[in-house]
Amino acid sequence: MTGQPAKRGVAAVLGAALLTMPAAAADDLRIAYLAATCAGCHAPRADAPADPAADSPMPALAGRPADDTLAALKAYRDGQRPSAVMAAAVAGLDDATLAALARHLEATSPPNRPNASGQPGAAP
Amino acid sequence: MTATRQPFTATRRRVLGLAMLATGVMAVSARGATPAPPRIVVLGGGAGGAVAARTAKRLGGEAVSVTLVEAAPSYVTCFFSNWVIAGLRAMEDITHGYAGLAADGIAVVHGRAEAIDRDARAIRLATGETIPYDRLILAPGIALRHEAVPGYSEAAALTMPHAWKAGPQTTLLRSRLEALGPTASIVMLVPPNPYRCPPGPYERAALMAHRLKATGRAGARLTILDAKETFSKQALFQEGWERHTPGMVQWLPPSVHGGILSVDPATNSVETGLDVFSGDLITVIPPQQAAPIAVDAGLADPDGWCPVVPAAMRSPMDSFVHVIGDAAKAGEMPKSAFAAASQGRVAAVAVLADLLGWPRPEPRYFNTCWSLIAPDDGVKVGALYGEKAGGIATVKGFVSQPGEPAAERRRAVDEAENWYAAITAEMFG
Ligand SMILES: Cc1cc2nc3c(=O)[nH]c(=O)nc-3n(C[C@H](O)[C@H](O)[C@H](O)COP(=O)(O)OP(=O)(O)OC[C@H]3O[C@@H](n4cnc5c(N)ncnc54)[C@H](O)[C@@H]3O)c2cc1C
Repeated sequence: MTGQPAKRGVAAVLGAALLTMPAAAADDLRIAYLAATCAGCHAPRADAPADPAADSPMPALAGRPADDTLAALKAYRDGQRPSAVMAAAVAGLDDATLAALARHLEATSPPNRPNASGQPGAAP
Repeated sequence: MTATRQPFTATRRRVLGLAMLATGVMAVSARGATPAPPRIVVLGGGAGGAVAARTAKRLGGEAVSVTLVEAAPSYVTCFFSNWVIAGLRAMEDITHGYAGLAADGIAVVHGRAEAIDRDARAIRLATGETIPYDRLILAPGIALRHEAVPGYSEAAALTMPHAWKAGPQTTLLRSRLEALGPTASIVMLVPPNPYRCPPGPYERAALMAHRLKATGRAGARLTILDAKETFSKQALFQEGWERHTPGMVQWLPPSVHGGILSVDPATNSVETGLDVFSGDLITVIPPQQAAPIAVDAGLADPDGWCPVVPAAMRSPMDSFVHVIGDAAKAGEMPKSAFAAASQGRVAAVAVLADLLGWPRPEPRYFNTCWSLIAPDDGVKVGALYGEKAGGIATVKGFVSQPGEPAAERRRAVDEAENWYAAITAEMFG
């Protein structure tokens, strides 16, 4: 994403102040919001790992590899994977947005399990 | 790539917001004090309010304070209460506590709000305590207009249950259903639009008939006296009633019954323009409006529902108040828990953006209403909504079709169960 270097620059400038920043500001509020909309159907599950093969109509998304999620989201949007619900859910979102969303979901850990930074994760 | 402009602008604007906030933080920390974060107060801990509060806290973190005011100590979901009435779930399964919100850092205040002082920007509780806000997210749900059906009242609801607010009424309707004999007659009154959960009455009819049939009472009859000529997912329900419980459910629109005139709890009867219907069980779903706290605060139109600005669910009457969920007039969105949660996220994000100087994301309103036609036969209707011509309108919709394969219908039941787990996790943690 093109905004990325700019963001890192800002982080460096603001330094310690950023530590007090809320979670969303460190990412993009828009992507955090979109990820929150996923949670309307995709329950975070502490008990089950995000298993793409699990036979759930709404699998847990937190921690799923971004490439898998992105491929699925694009396939839903472009009608290659049939689901009327998912086609509507991702309608009109461009590739860059879907990619950022997939990365955001990957970086989110299921409840009660540490994410990459060792912190408990928020629900997607 | 021309698309690069957009995110860059957004980033620049966010940087500005961050920088301003950071300056504030640093200036104050030099004096050794912490600035009081802006106060978001959410009134009503249902599908809309609980999701709004948790979204605001999760994305806003320490930069905001979030208070939830809720009258009840626990929340019984109306969603899946039809499953309870039919014996497919227990009351415990649909009852949830607020401990998860407190654990998130949300101040949960259990008390009835008596008034909103919009000039002072504070809520007054029944205890006399006041809770000031910088932004109020109002999610109080509905009031049942018992008196709109002549002869019906809160007292009459003990004889003619509505079960349209989940709790003791749900238990009452369930036990009344259980007590019916093998050839009992049931009459159900269904209100005009708009009302909470458009497909709810028809799902309830299907599940009550299922329960009667499954317990050796296929001779029972359920007559729906509707205030409308058509209803949500009509073809799917009518086909389903006939398939699963042939002859048990009869639906009559006003053009057939002549309009509902009154009910009489003493004789267990309903008078319509063309007939008198009596039954062993009469259930009355009365007409509705926004909960009194919203109406009394002057946030409702004369029709009893609260108008909103589509971009952020903000009240056109008060820019410090957002109204979400069943109380709001959200254009083409139905009054559902799914929709309330979707609006709760939009309002939370809009309030954060407003208070913290962040760019406000474009709302993506969404809804799906699953309904059971039988325990293994589910259908759904839903849509993505957007802002159109000053209102909230369908962008892309979907609906189940009559005659779908059994496996697809079974899958919709699984989806409904997954959705229930998801929304209650989002509401309560
Ligand atoms: C039988 C039935 C089945 C349903 N099935 C579904 C379904 O399958 N899917 C679906 O999406 N929706 C369903 N719904 C609809 C769903 O329940 C509502 O749309 C949803 O609850 C609306 O959420 P809300 O936040 O607007 O209001 P509510 O959930 O009603 O929450 C409002 C809260 O505000 C509190 N409150 C109100 N006034 C005050 C006050 N003055 N002070 C303090 N607290 C106050 C109340 O105690 C309440 O907890 C169903 C409804 C019914 C009746």
